[in-house]
Amino acid sequence: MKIYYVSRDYSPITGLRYCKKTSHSGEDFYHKKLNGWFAEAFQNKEELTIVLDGGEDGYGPSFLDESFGNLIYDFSRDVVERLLHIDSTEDPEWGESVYEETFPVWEESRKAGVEPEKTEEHEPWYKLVGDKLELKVWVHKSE
Amino acid sequence: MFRDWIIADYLQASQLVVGVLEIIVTAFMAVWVVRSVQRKLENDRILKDYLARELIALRADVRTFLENLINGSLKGKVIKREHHLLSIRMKDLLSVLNKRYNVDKQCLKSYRMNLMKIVEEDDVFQQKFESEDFVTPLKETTLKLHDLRVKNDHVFNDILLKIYGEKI
Repeated sequence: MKIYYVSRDYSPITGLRYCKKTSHSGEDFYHKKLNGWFAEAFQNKEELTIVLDGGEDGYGPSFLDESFGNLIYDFSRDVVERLLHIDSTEDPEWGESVYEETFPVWEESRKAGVEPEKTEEHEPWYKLVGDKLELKVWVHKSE
Repeated sequence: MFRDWIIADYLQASQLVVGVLEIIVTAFMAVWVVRSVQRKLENDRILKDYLARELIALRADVRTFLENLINGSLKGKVIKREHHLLSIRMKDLLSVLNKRYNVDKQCLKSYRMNLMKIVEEDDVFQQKFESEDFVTPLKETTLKLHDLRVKNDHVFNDILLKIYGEKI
């Protein structure tokens, strides 16, 4: 099992939902770290734990929703729930809100084909197509 | 004195001694039980009063935070941090209250999670999130925050009643 700490492996301070509004946003975290971490775990058939504890001023709901929601959009709820563990001992409600609110809502969006908004151009990222990972820019920055 | 005693006298005397000892031990036990219960009640009371004071202080700080938020007296940069500190206090206090008095751990969820969901949707807050500028929230946001306060302020009183064993 791979374990990553958001505060240590990404940033001790996190922002809001989109890159265009704040630094260290949920969108930024997803594209710079979480997508790659999860793709690696998927390829290696191992579980992935994301530890939320240790951040300097906690996490905004929009940061969590955007980062973990994008994961659902690109990999599906079924696959994500099978491989991902969110460790948030410091505040269990962070993890609970992701499992109980973000996952179902983003799964609905994924099924409905509603693309997530991108506020910056990102490097190619992984998406599960069938049972294979494909790497490309799936969505461009919205106008 | 005991020279003329027969066995029956000795038996009677020993029964008397045992009886007296029984009374002494029973009296001692009664005093010990009463003191222990009293001490426990006093400790319970001290703990209840302490937790109640903590809860009242927390309620005052939550009210002040909300008031400052609505009035636009908080800088963009500090809102998330201040809320996080309040949230930790709520979580820690609820954790103790849950173990001790079975208070629902989720009962302040509106203040811990929903409050920041409302704030983070606000365009002004988003623009000033990383700045030293004061954030005057949009009218729509203030209405939602008022609504949240009106619907949840009673929760602190409900917890107080639960601590002191009153039915809500």
